[in-house]
Amino acid sequence: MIWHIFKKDLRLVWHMVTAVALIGWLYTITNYHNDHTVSNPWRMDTLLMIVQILASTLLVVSVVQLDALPGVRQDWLIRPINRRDLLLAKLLFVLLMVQGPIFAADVAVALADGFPAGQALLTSLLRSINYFTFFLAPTLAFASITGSFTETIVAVVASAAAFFGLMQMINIQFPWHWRVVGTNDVFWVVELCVLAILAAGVAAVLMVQYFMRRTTAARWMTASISLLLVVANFMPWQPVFAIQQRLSRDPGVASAVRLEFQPSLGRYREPSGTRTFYQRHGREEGIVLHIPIAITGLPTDSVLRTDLMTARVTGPDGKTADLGFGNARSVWSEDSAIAGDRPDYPLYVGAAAFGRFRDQTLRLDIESSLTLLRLNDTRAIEALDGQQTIAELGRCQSNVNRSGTAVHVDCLQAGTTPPCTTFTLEHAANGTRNPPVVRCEGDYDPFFMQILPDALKRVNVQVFFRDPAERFHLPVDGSQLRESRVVMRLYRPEAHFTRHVVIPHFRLSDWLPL
Amino acid sequence: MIEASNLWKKFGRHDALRGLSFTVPEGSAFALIGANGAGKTTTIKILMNIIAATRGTAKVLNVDSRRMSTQELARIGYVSENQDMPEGLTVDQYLNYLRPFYPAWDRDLEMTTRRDLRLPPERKIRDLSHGMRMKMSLACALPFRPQLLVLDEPFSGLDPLVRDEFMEGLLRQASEMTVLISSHELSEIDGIATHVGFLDEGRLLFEESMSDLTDRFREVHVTLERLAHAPDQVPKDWLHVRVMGNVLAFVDTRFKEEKLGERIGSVLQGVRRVDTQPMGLRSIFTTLARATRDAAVS
Repeated sequence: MIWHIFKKDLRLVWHMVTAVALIGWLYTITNYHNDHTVSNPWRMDTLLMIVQILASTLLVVSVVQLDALPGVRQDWLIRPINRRDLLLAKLLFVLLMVQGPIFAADVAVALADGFPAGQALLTSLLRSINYFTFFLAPTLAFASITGSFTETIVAVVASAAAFFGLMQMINIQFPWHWRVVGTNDVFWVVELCVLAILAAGVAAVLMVQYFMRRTTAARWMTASISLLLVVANFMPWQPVFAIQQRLSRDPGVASAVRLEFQPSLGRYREPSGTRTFYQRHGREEGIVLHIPIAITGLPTDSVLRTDLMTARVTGPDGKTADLGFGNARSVWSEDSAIAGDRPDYPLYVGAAAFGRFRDQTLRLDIESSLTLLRLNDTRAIEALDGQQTIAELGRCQSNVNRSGTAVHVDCLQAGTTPPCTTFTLEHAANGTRNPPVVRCEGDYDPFFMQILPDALKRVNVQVFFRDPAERFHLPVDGSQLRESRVVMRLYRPEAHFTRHVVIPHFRLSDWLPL
Repeated sequence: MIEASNLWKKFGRHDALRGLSFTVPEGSAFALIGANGAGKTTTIKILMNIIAATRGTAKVLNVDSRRMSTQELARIGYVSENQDMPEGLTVDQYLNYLRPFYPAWDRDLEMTTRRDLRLPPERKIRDLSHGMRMKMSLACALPFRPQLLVLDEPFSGLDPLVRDEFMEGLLRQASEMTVLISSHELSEIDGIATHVGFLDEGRLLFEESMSDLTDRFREVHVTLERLAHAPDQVPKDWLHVRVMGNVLAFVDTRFKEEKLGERIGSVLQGVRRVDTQPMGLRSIFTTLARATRDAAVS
């Protein structure tokens, strides 16, 4: 009877199915167009994405409420309709009529972009699983606990307000927890937890609703799951990084890496000449201290990335307190142009902590969670009109940007991209090089977890050959582009590990930037 | 066929049902009567497992109503004025949709019922009038020859012509099944019901066969030799006692022909004549409803 119910639903909402599919394809065509043009992108992509999400929501809610579960007037309640068949028919509908066109569009675009069929199918399938679990399945479950479309809209708005309000409240109360996990390369662990909670929660709500029709219980379950999702977003760092550590490809490669406090380097000089404050919500929240820490034992062609640094102070009385944190700092072993002239560790210290400890001599404990990335591959693409397929970055092309100041490298990948890559403009004949451009923004996620905008990852980098402000001259300039190429160095995470630095006598005021 | 045992239903602080128990015998046509808000629809929705009872149990087709499976539902026809059917489907499409769910669906009976009820096959459900919807609901409940037909206020808002068509459609099959019907339209029930249950504020005041009920209720007019006045001690089973000149009228709820004279003689003096008249269900209902209301007021 699953197919029979499916056909009835389709007959009732075919016009909505058509509209959602059309919007989806329009969005896909817009994205495809924008991926293949530098000069004339269509501006409506974001709007279409929002419209597609809203239209999909509307369709899912409508199809579930054709046989609404709450309420006492629904005709189907007194018909011999198997609840399991009804649930499966709704799932089938969402998969075929909502997720199906999205999957088909993803596959079509990946194939049109020249990716092999297997890769196109796998990436589109993974994105579809993510999209379904993160968005469509929860929408389906939510629609099953509401009796009408108006009720759903009111409930969605109220729940979203409560959810984000709670997130914001916790964020304000414990600002640094959110910042650490929310902006870090290991956030995929949190995403995976959220995914698991959502999958289990949705299954539980649907079971309770479709097999027992206990709306009040299902609503309480939904509220509890939402609360659990909030909590999951504030997972403590240690267990998250411990999971990442277990996934190290080659833990031994980092055994020689040492971190050591190096006071001889002196105080940090701000390039702007002014002291750095860090801000949140437009408010100054504290100060950025730069602690000179020497790093030794890095293997050649490697990058050391600080995923998180936490600092703790201990007073003469033995009492300890959190001082602050730092993250997303990378040190290159092979290129001082990237690493800078001194390996500083920016440490964000809250105003209250700074005021309290500013002039005290304390013991400082710095715990660093680190990732060592090693050069995995080096590839090059012509600076002008280059086209190259690179396994890790996908299909890349290069062109001069509209303002004539940089080579624009665009890569489209059906799958994951390396977390760190450098792009260097290099004269092919004489070896002259401009300073590299660093792109370190990927997650360490072991598999493709993207939901939006589609199943493709995009790497867009501007490799400058001319300073737009004309302040300085670069070795490889616009006149040499025809003989030049962009060298791409791709780094792969090999080891995730921790190091502990102890500074027995440390006074914050001594290390304020100049 | 149906056994309700000590059913309670609370909506917030309000008790919609208070320990309701009754039995619908197989092959009977059981009329559940009562004033608005008496709990008739709530009772039916509990029996159909649309809502859960706060306390108590109900068995329908020998199965706990909370555990009714598709097998039981395939043997139950349900018609209610408050049914939400798929508005976007046509009459034809909806019947086509329902057909495969019922193993016993009889196409010929369906065609006959549709023809008799004169349902427009291509019209969408959302475009049907109230009367048409009720007929549609009946047309969806009869073709599978249900063992139990549940009708919740089926005549509400129907014009006489539609009511007749509805009744014709219903009566054609009524002899083959057990019927549970709740209605205010007592004159219509009068012709169908074999048993009756009177519900008041969530309590069943009585349940009995229609013949027993009509046998024991009589409108009695006692003509006295002089001007009548109501006796100081009115027997409990005399309801709606009133005086008109030298005539004392009341409704006897325990009527027995052979004992009537003796019972009247023990209460009234100077009886010249006694006239009795059988009562229709409507009259019985209004008498009981009035008595219950008066008792509540006093």
